[in-house]
Amino acid sequence: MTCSECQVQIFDGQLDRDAVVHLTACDDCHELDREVRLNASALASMREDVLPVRRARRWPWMVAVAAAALMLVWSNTKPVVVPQPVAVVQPEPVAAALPVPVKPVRVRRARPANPAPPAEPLLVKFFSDDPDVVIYWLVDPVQGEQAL
Amino acid sequence: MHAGELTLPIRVAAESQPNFEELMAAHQQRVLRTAYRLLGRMEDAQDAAQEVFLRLLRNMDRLDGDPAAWLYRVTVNVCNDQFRRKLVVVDAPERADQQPRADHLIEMDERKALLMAGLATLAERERAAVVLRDIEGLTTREVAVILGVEEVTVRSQICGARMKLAKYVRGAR
Repeated sequence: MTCSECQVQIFDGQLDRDAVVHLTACDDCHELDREVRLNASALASMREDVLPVRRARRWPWMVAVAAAALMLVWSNTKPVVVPQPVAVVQPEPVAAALPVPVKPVRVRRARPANPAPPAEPLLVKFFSDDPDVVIYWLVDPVQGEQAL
Repeated sequence: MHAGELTLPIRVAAESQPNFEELMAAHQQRVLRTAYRLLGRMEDAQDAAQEVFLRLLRNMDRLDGDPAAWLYRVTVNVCNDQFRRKLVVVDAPERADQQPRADHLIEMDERKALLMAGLATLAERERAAVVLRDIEGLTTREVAVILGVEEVTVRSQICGARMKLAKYVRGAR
């Protein structure tokens, strides 16, 4: 058996009798077989290994701490600005924005009340037994009676 | 997981259709583990696993057959897409403790790290085949079903992957 033929069996993991005999006589193949077996053992033992814990990355924390420190310094040196009051604007109703034809509303104007005509004095005429004596009685409807 | 476990969910699916939460609870570690081996970084693996279960959620009504095989297939596809989108950087293996360790364990950890880095150098198909076969422990037939290729193709891909990994490890040491 040649070395290349033996090596195929070494990597395949199945050695026949000729390969075993070759290993006893060839140091190179013997060493290769030992190496491959150690690798196989190491690979198989990986199955039982505890998986490493995910390591925290330091850079994001350092950047975050630096950013927080800068914000703190900046907020202390920055002049205090009093915020302006914000005017609250009520949104207009949507219907008002639409061009809706509006029927003109006829406003009935209140007519001014007619001033009452000045009350004319009531004239009461009394006749007496004497034809030369006539009594006129003027009665003011606002202020009362007044004899003439 | 052993090779025989892959057929178990088929019977479960035939008897009673599991809901999304049950499937996620049963397979999330497997999906995450496979994605981690394929991508080499936990952050990328978690993103990939999230995408896999999002696809599962979208396709729950159309899911037919073995959920494990379906999830493996989708995981491989999602990881391949992610692998193409960006340069994958392999994390160094983390030591759980700092106690003195035997030389052979240190050597094993070093070998694992080299293999993880070597996986990133493989072609997509080779990487998927060796992760499913050598790490997940599936049979060649199961890997062939998941990847949608013939068994002989899988064997060829695995042989090629093992050869490249051996060369990578030798060259790095």
